[in-house]
Amino acid sequence: MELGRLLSVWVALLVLLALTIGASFLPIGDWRQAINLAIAAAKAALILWVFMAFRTETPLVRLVMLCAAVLLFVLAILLAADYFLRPEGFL
Amino acid sequence: MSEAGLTNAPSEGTAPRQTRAEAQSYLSDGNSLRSWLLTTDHKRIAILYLISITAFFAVAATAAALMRLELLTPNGDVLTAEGYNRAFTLHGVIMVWFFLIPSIPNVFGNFLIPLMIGARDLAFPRLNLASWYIFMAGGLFTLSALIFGGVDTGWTFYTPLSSHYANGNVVLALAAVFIAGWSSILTGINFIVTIHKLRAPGMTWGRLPLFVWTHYATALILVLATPVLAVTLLLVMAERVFGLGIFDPALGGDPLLFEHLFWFYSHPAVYIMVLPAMGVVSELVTAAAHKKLFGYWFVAYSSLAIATIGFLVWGHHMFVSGESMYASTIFSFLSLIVAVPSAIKVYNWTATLYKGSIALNAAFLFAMGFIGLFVMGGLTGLMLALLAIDVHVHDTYFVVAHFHYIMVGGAVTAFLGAVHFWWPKMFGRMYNEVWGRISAAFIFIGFNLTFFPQFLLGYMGMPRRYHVYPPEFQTLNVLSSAGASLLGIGYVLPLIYLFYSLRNGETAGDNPWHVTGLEWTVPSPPPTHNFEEAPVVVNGPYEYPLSHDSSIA
Amino acid sequence: MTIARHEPFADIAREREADRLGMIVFLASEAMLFGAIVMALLALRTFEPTAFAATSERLILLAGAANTAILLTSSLLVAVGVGARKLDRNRLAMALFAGAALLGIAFLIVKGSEYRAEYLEGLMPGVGPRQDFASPGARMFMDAYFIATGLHAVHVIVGVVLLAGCAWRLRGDAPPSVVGTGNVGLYWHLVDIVWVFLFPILYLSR
Repeated sequence: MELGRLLSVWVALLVLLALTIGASFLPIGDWRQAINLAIAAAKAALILWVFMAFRTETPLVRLVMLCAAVLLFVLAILLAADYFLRPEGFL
Repeated sequence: MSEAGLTNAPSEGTAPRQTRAEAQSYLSDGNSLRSWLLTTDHKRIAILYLISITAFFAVAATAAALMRLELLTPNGDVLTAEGYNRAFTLHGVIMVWFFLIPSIPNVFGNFLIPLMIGARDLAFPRLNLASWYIFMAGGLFTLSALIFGGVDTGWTFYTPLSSHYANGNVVLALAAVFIAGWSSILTGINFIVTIHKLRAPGMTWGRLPLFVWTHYATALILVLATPVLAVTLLLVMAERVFGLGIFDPALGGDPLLFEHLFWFYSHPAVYIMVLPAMGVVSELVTAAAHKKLFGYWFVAYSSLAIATIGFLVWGHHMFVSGESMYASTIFSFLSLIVAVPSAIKVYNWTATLYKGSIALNAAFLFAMGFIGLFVMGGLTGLMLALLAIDVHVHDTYFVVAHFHYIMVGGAVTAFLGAVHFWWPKMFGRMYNEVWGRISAAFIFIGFNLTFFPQFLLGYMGMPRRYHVYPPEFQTLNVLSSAGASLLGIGYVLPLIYLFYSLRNGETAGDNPWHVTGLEWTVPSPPPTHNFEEAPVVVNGPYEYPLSHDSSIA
Repeated sequence: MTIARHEPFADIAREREADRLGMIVFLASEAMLFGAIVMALLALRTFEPTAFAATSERLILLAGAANTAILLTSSLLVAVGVGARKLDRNRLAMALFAGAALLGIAFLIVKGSEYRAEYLEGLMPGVGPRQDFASPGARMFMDAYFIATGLHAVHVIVGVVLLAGCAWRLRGDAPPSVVGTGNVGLYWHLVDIVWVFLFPILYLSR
């Protein structure tokens, strides 16, 4: 039932929130940042797919959001290509 | 070519004060100022934009004239250094955001897209009007910045000059561009939804004129790139107004981060300026040759390819700003790739012209000018994409010449070509063809005389944004300024003969050029609702020879 | 109002599709807006990792976590509300949207109290009884924090106004259409998604 699905997603989101807070206290160094970003992406995906009903939307609508996501990913990759590949002494 | 259409009664005379079509058109549908300022008709909004961008062009061209006047001599005698900085900043800001970006999309895109796809208006007509008002608000902020003394940061607003050291009305200018950006975004949303949802029955993607394809690609860039500019300028404003420094090296920030975010928008922005121009040229080339466009799908997909790859190349503006060598190599490679779809278009236009029966009217002269000048601009762009050359010519007049070949030789020339091609449709009048060709000649010759010497100057080392230079550069600078006066004449001429044609021009029929396209099947000028009933499209675009003037094939 | 067809559409179904597509395209541009800020934040984190982490720990984690839970719950209410509108259960939809708007206001109250605490603690750049930044990098973190959360809060305010307006109109005889209600809901969900990214980057970079 629709309401049941919405409620389960809400519970899942709160669980992920608890997980992300917990993970930030683990002694695993920089992996914390990566895990937290991954959890944030998972939450965003759940909100998009179920709350925003992308599950039942047309392919065109999904493609539009996908374009924005891919473009942001491109920005991240190429920014990283600059900042992580600088010679020693800058970062 | 200038024969009256089949639908006008001969007893009207060839140049009446008001033709019958005009009386029933969108131009006569309400004569009050209110009916124009509160219109939701895409055609009227296009005219509002046409008037505004022409005014902005005049302001920015005046700034350019001052600059070229200053550069006649090696010393600074017309302007101070500060004054010169303010002149080129004003020139850049207005030309980029208040002329080039809105020119073809907001005048011809607005006017023609609904007509070309068989719709009665854009998807969101009131949003369209809002776009114009937002644009004018941005323009007002720009003019205020000018009146209060100007800005000296360059149109690129690099930090920390813009965020920290510049005195002047930086926040006003930043706010102006921020506001104008929202006009762009709303236009992009309108175009995307219109093209997806308002095509007439039978108007499949494969039957769309290339003008529509390129405007679709442009709209994608408008919607996805402009917000990044908006937020970047907001960050600079926050630093100036509230002292919140993200780009401040003293706090550990990186001015290059500004450049990354700024060029992430501003490189795709140049494709916002050039893609619509390419769409215009596709239309002008098939119209002049009276021949089907060669390689329709190649040209259509190349528009999308340019938009996509155009998002991946921004780092080539920062090769000498401290960007990592590895990132620079990646950007250099991608910048070479982005030339491929543009080249595909040029080859297809050439192939279209081959064995066509070409009409050398003014519009086509502009289109030919575009092809030649765009190729030169593009080739020099490839040179700039190569790291070794860029290190030598970055921040010199070589770069200035390159982008003016694309922006002026390309985009502005195509804009004028569009004006000369669709003027009869928009206003129902033919202009004097001879004067049209004369202005095309003035513009082509004047343009080359102005900007070719700048390639040489830049290669020899003359830096850009300087109002003084070593005396050995004077000859080329004088040639360049002379060319600028010819160019100026070329721009003023159309204002005269086009305006004259509004009352005194011969009546244009529905299809004075005898070309394909749904816009040529309605009267000139079109009635407010464009089509009596929705057309049903059964043929492809560019199906020559035309069987009848009022069909699209 | 709900069944009126606007020019230039030939039929209502097309118009509804166009309204939905228009909203989605607008949300894509909003995603780019905040995406650029997130990228800037991530870049700052790589410039000054220690200062970033140290200052992140000085934020009130409880407030941030509570705000995340508040927004997620309000998203739930909105999602159910949109579903209710689809079934024409307008009174239920109105209550849910009003509830979501109230949660939005709760978010703003928590945020405001955080700002006040930061002001008093000396973490608000340029203002306050004192300036207590451990290092220039700490100052930069707080600069970025205020810009990011400030811009987000502006969008929350807009969202609250939209939700409240929608709830108000759902009371009467001319309620907003299913697509219109859905569009307001979509805007609110995007505001939620943005916070989902801002929260870990700002509060959990310890």
